Amino acid sequence: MGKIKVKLFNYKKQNDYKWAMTIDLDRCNGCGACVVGCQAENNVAVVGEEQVEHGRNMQWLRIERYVEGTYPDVKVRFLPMMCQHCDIAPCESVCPVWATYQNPEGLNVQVYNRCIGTRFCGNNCPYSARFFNWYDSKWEKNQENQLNPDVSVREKGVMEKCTMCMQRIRRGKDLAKDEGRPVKDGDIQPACAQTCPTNAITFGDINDPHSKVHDLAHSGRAIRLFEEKGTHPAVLYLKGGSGNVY
Amino acid sequence: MSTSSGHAHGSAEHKAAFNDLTDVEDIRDPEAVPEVVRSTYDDADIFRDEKEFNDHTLRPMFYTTKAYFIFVIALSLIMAQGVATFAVQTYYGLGQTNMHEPLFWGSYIATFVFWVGMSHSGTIVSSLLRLSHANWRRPILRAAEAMTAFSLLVAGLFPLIHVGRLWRVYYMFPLPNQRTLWPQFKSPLMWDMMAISVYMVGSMTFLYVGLIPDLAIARDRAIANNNWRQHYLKFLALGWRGSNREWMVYNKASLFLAVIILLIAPSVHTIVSWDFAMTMTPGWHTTIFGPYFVVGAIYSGVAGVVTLMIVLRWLFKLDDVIRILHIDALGKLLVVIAIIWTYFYVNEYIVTWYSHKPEEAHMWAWQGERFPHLLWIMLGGSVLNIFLLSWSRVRRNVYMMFWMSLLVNAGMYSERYLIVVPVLTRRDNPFMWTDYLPSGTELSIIAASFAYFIFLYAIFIKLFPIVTMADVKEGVVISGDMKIGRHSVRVQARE
Amino acid sequence: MSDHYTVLGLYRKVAIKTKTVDRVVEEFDLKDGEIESLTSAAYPDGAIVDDKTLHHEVYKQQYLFPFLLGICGFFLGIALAGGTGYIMNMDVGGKPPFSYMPTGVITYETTLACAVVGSLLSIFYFGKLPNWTERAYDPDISDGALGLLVKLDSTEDQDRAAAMMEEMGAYRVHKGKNNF
Repeated sequence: MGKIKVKLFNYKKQNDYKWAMTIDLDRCNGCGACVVGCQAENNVAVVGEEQVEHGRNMQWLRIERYVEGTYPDVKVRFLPMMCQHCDIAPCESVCPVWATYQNPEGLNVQVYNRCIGTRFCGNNCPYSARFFNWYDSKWEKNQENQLNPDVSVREKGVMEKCTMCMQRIRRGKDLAKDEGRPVKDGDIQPACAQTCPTNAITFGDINDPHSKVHDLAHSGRAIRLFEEKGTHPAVLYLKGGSGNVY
Repeated sequence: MSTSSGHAHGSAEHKAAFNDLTDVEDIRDPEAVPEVVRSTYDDADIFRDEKEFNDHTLRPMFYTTKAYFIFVIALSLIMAQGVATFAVQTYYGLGQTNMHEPLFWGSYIATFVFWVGMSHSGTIVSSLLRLSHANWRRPILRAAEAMTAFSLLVAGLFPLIHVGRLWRVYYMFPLPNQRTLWPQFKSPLMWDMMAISVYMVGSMTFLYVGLIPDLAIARDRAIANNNWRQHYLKFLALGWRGSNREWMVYNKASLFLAVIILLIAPSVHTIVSWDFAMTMTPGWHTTIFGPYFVVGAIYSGVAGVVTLMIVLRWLFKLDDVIRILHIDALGKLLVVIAIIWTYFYVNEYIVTWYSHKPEEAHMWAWQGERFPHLLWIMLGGSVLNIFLLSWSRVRRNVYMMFWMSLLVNAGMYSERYLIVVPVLTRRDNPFMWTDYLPSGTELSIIAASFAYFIFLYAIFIKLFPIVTMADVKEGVVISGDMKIGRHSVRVQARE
Repeated sequence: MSDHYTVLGLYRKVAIKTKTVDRVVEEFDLKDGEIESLTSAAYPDGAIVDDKTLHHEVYKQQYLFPFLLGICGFFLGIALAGGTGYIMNMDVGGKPPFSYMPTGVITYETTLACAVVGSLLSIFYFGKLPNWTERAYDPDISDGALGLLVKLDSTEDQDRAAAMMEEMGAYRVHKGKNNF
């Protein structure tokens, strides 16, 4: 396990954050609570049975199951997959309208109002973490009352993906600003990290040498998915030992 | 002025004899030498009289049968259902198609690439033949150039059909605005849009400039017959009189345009290939895609020209204008391009096989496993083409050429499908592997695109002269017989 | 400008026409811009009217249109793809706003596009087109007749030239005023 380089571009200024996430695969038991949390927090559309049959299930965060071996010696491995917020994101450079770009805090953001739906970004994402609104999202009666007011509901014809709960990052930064201090570790928690019963997901500023994420990233267990693609994701997976196996 | 002919005249003796032959005084004397000897030029049989030739080649334009109207109405119906399906798709969303994550591009993009490819032979062949002074090119130029322009018009629709928010598509244009919205020029789609609009401007200009002298001929004919076409023909012919000055300027500008088009056309399909090659998707991320797409485009385009020529000569009884000679020459071109194309394709397989990258090797294996019939049509058809078209007997058989050219384009359509679809169904992330076949919505819009192309062509034939008349006449003017001993050699003047 | 008078003679044979050209030029001392040949096909330059004097400026200058417009297109491309990156100042996470490859691609395309437009404009400018006014012309020209058009200063000259053309074998002669 080599050294993890995180400061690729100019994320070096004081109080400039570089958000990162670690997911401990040894702790993940595939319960799917994060998926539900994400869905509720981000107004992700519930597309319905018919669309899921078409392969259009919209989950910004999904649990991928991989089965190893043949029956009865079967092991199932779980991998929570979402947008990896790459430093060198393949999706960014192919968007013709700047609908997706790298923000100064190292996040890969999607501007829904700019998106015209060429879907080139989705084709260029090796993680297949981007989703398209094939139809307008429909909410059943009274269901729209549970929509999160901080998050916009997306129109048809627009790409969307994990934002690392951008609205929570905003709120955390606002609070810190009101109190006149930089954001502390633990101030901000995305919905998935908050929901995870086994504490497998950790979020924080990797530029802060005292943060939990920084410790975990440098624990020697961190890996990146499709490292050979050279995308430098901000999501790090922790692996080692014989957990994660049922 | 120099004279090109089949024999060499290197020695001093030869030169002296040659000078004797072309004595200026002799040529200028109308009694001694007839001014133009037209007997051996290939087009002589249709060129007994220029007026007759004009009548004959303008016949498709001025003479319309009932069957034509029925045909055009049928095409309009196919187009109408396509437009209706598209309206439904735009209203409800792209869920009407069968695309899904992570297969974001499907048959629309395959068809787009197909039409851009179809547009490639017209102007490339036309400008190449113009620059190389190939004499047989003359009657077929217009038909080929028109094909370029119209397939580009059809191709240009597909990005619009394909985008998710059609009503926001102007975000891609560099229009100054107060919201600091600006297109991102790093995206291959922007290059694509740029290249295709430039190619559209270029090929339309090329088509139009080539049309001007013929428009003047048609204009005179329309005025003489008091035909309704005279109004736009008068306007579009720009008051062309065929003066020496106009011809001079026209010839020079055609030369410029031929060179410029020859620079634009390969760049266009290279850039279309970069839509794929500049991504990091296994199976697309290949350096060979640029030249490979260009060759594939010319391959399908030349086959398209052959199909079109055969249909035109059958429909409008232009057998003496579009002759076996042309079909034969295009057949030869097709063999050469088929060999290059097959080489590229085999090369792609061999390199993948040898490099042993699992994701790519798996992708190609899956392609053969999932779509074996398409693979057979594509590769088998191409190999069959190379073998069959090597015989002049096949090349000179119109029926064989017709079916072979259709087979080439069926193969090339399959190729575009095989490039777009299998790659996306087998991405890096095996959890998201999927499968795809186009839905009814997609098929009806694609069918409408073919109808639209034929419709545009049918309309064009009725509004503009389809045979490059001025070029044929030029060929007659500048060619003649030269006597060398007993032999009479056909020569062509060249500047 | 003072009035001018034109004569358009129609011929069937090139050789007879060239003979007439020689005689008419000699007789009336015609210069560049006063004699023109109308044909339905592109005869090689100088085949009918001597190319030493005719339309000399076109040879030298026509390339300038596509060339200069191409240069304009080159800078337009750089400004469009490269320059606007700085002006629009997008937040790109510290990545450089200028990138070479896209600028190169866009510049290539805009250069050629402007050169195409330049070629078209060169036809308009040097060919003196479009000109929809009534000019000396005969529809027979598009059916293969060879027209010889001269521009003269007086009606006497006009009559003399018409007679000369008819004598030399023109099968039809049109006389006109101010329609060269």
